[in-house]
Amino acid sequence: MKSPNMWKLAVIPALLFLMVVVILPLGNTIWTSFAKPELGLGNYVEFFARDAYVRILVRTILTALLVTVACLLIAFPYAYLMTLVGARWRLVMVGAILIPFWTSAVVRTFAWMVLLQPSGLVNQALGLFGLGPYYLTGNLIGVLLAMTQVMLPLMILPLFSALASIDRKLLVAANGLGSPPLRAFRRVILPLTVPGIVAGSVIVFVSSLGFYLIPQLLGSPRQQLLSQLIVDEVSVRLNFGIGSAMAVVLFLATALILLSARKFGGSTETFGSTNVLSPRGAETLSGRRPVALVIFSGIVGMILVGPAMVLIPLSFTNEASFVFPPESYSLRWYANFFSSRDWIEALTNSLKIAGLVTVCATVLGVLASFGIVRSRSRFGRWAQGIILVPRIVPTVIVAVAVYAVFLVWGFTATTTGFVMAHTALAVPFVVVIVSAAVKTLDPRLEIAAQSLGSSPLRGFCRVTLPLIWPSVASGALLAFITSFDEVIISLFLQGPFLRTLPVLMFSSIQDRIDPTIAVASTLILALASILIILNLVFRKDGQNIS
Amino acid sequence: MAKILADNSEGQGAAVRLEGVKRSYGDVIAVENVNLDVKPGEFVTLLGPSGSGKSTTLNIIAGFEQATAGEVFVNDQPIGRLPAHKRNMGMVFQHYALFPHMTVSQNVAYPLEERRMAKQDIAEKTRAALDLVKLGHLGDRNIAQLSGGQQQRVALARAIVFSPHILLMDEPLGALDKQLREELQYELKELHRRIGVTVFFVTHDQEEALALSDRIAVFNDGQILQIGTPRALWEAPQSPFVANFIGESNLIPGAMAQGRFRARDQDYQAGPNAGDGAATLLVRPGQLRVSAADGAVPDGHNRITGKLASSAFMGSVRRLVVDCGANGRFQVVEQIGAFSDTADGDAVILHWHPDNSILVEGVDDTVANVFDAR
Amino acid sequence: MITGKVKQGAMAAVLAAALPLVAGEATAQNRALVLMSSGGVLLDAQKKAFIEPFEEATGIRVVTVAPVDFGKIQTQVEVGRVEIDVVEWAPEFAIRFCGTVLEKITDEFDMSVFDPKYVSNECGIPQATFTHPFFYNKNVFTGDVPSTWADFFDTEKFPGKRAVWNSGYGTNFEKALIADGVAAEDLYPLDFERALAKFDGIKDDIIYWNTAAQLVQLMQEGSVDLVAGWGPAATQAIINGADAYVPVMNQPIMIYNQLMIPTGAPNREEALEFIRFVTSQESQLGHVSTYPQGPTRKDVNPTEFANETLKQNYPGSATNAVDLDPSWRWQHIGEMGDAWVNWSTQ
Repeated sequence: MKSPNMWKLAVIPALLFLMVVVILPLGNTIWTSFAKPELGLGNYVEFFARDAYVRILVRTILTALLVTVACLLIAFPYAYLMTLVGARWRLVMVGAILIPFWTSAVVRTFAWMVLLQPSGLVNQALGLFGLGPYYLTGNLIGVLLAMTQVMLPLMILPLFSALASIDRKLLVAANGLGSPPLRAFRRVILPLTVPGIVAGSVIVFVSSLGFYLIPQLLGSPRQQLLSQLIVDEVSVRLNFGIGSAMAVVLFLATALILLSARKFGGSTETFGSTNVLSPRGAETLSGRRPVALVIFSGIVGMILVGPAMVLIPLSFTNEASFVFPPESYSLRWYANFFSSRDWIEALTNSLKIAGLVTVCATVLGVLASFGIVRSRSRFGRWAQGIILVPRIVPTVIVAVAVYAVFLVWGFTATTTGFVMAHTALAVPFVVVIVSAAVKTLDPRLEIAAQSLGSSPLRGFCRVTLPLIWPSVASGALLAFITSFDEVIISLFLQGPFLRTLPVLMFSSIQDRIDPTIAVASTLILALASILIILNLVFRKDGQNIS
Repeated sequence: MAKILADNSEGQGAAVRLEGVKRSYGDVIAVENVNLDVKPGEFVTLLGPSGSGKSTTLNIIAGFEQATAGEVFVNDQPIGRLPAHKRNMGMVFQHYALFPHMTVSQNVAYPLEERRMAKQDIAEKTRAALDLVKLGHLGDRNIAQLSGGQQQRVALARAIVFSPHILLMDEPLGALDKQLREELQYELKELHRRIGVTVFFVTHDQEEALALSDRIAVFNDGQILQIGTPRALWEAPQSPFVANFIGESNLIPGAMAQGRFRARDQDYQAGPNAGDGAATLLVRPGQLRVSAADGAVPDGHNRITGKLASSAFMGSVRRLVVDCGANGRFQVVEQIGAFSDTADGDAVILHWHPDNSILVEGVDDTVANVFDAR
Repeated sequence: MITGKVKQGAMAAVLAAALPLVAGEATAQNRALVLMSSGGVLLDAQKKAFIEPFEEATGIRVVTVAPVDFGKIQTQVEVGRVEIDVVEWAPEFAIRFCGTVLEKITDEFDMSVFDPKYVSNECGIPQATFTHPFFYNKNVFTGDVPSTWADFFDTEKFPGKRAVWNSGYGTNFEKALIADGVAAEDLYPLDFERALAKFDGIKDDIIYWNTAAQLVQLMQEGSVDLVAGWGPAATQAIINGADAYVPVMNQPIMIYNQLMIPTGAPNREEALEFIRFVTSQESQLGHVSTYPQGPTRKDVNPTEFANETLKQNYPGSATNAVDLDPSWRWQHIGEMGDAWVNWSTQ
């Protein structure tokens, strides 16, 4: 029972790291917004004086709102059905959520581009009914579709948690009190789900504010969002001042939402700790499963999983186009991938960076988790808040902030720079997952080990580590995938001799009609599947213990 | 140090001495001025309410906490600087602290592995220890599959398998139901007799302390109030707190003046050797007698009148509450064969021989007395 | 309970394990240079025409970066960490940044071999010319076909979707003004309001494209009826099967690119060598006869083309091409961008 003060030390490496890599740059961004090109409110005045900018700000908020509402409407029935089905079907439904979550954003966006093209599958399907073809990209339809798909998992999981924790007897009781089923649903289930609705909506809304890839690749100027404007100002026009001011405005919008959500009973804590890896197990509840609900959820499941799958057959096409289904098949694009120095280098870079990030983020995150949980102090909670910042602030803001200081420090286009930035994004995941495990850990087990003759370090290795190992492994996997899939910061940090796979995919998508992108996507999907399976295996081990 | 680390296979516990031990956190003092001299093989209980400092003292002995001042000696050698894992003391934790990712055998073998014993010896000793706690057949079980009592036994086996000189137990029976607790108390005592280890046993349950201990150290507010055999504490408590904590009692706060004890206008005959000043008169419920209002009272007895407020028949005993108005409310226990012929609501006389009461110096407002409305 | 020492030890071990990997990145690239260009099909053609021959002839590796991000170059020069050795881009930037972000290099070359029209500053070496014409879908317009920029903006006579480059720095204003009857020599100063009013007329029919890939994709799909495109990329799309599109070489906007070297380029010598190789008579002739761009050298006049489409789209074939005024444009580049963003995001 060493004093909790000792544990505070364990938080310090991660805290220091995030202070230097994220907080300091964010501070610099805020400063820049007031100081460049000259001290004052000039950048803000300019921002709000320009119709185009204000319009884009309003549009960004409206789009996020639209996505949130769409997600809520689609996610609720799906989450509700999850509480009704048996364990096996639940696993399938969870899988349908996890697969898109673990799939790289570039891959998913590219899949939508292929699906929604005028000759794509969606238009082909519409054609069967004599409709179309429609322009589904370059306008709001495609952007909304893709955004909603990406955000759905983040809405379903908190809803499911809330729904699953409701005592189903309440519904029976309500029925007994004379409410017909639908009324009982409205008067009992719905009010009890409010925390889940708030949590999910906040997560989706805040995440939607930072969208960059989807409007960039699927939208037109009429869908342009603030993130794109920020990237444009900073990376193309080099107006760090106004770009920073925009980032601050976006950040304030985010903060405002989070604060008001707190009033409604949600909290940043729920935001950070929503465990996207394994939705809490809950008893299967018996109840009627309306056919309409099953069909609806089936379609949702297909929308979640389907798009990325299209890329697998496409990678075997024989043509130099994205025509789907391909008219003939070949391995030529695989040959192209593996004989291209650019692609191979990008793949190697991604693997190397992700590997290093996994090690760094896991070490920092595990230490910090112990520090936060065991110090049980205000300092611990405060440190946790700092560590979660990179997950709460839209990534484009982090990217702009990190880019500005990394330029000066000479970290752009270096492995070190990539590893530092990606580690900052990955540490929060590790902390959320591992600290949940540490919380359930009995601290006296380590003391017991000492009383039995283990030195503190040996006790940690023989007792504590085996007990939290499944969570550490999950955290490490998530750290790996976070780095491996990261695009936005990477776009800023890339250099001619250091490009990652998503970066090369992103520029190829804009650059040429090249099914090699589908090959890269398929490889990423394969890797993600392996990781999901590994994760399930680790989790299973964990269940045996508890 | 070598002597401390040697194993205890010859069945000899270690002598332990605490000298002026103090532990404080900033301004808050957890324990202070703890002096304790324990003979090899003695079973000593640290008894007190929660927060009294008994667990802190145990943790200082174990090495989980450092004393701010004072020193702990084992066989006359100071061990304050020795880290916990080198102290070679067995410890049984509250809620057992068994390793959930290991089987029963693996748990018990753990300390032997940490001592790099040969595989063969580990297997033998593990089996012997499990046999000792009557769990030889459950070695391959997972911890989660065991009942509370079984887990407790595994914890015990794990704590003694490496033959420590000193065994520390922190409320080991606290989580068990009454019957199992009593059964294990008996086994613990038996085990202690067989392996001869020095035991420090922390509990807040005075009955458990009385049943198990060679000596009891009563803690309150971070201090040891009194150390003694169970009988000595019961018969001669040195403070109202100890009097109240060890066994049931009726406490009458008052003052001695001219050889007589006086409380709220009522004089009592007290035992000898009492000086003037604030004092508390203690009468055990079993020492009180109840007679009908018109009944005879032996000469020389203290007597007060009252009303039988309630009574409960409990088999071999009968418990009564007598309301003596301004003189307080008294708990009475009558043994079978000596039940008085009284009923609820009867006017009664409460009386006792002065030798059966104990006069304790001082008055402690924090301790419940007969004037409290019970 | 981990003690501080142990933690330090663990961290040190991790760092020690990671270091060799990080250090590995510093491995010297044996003579290389970084070329920033628009990429896409242009890059594919350039690779064949002169990049690969250059690599073979000199052993210098050419690493390519696309698309052109001039802001990035500017930043790199400002913070003193330049990664780009050669950039191929519009002369506006060469004029605007000559002597600051870009190095004055014309002294290193014999500039007399180039058409003086394309020698506009001390930093850019003329590389190639190309056009922004428009194309129509011959399957859609079977009778009367659009033949002028005015037709392109006339949705009554020629209804249908129009693909337009989403860029204020491009040539959209020029096209609209010509369509509105402004003479080629009176284009500057550009009248933004007048141009955008012309665009208002087709706003609901516009399909935007941002990149060459999107342009090619649109044409391969055959899903737009009129395309205002980059000549080279569009021609390449036609060669690759989008043969429903017919170029209209009436008053195409004529553009030229220059090769520039950022100040402080790490491989300056290799860059100069590369530019010399690329602008040689042999390289240019090879390039313009296999790709729909035109030469900047006076002594390059292709007579044989790789195929018929290339011949049709050869920039030199337009007799009334409209020239841009780079010096006016670089001074007003911000206004052009803002005016377009303001209009297009509404």
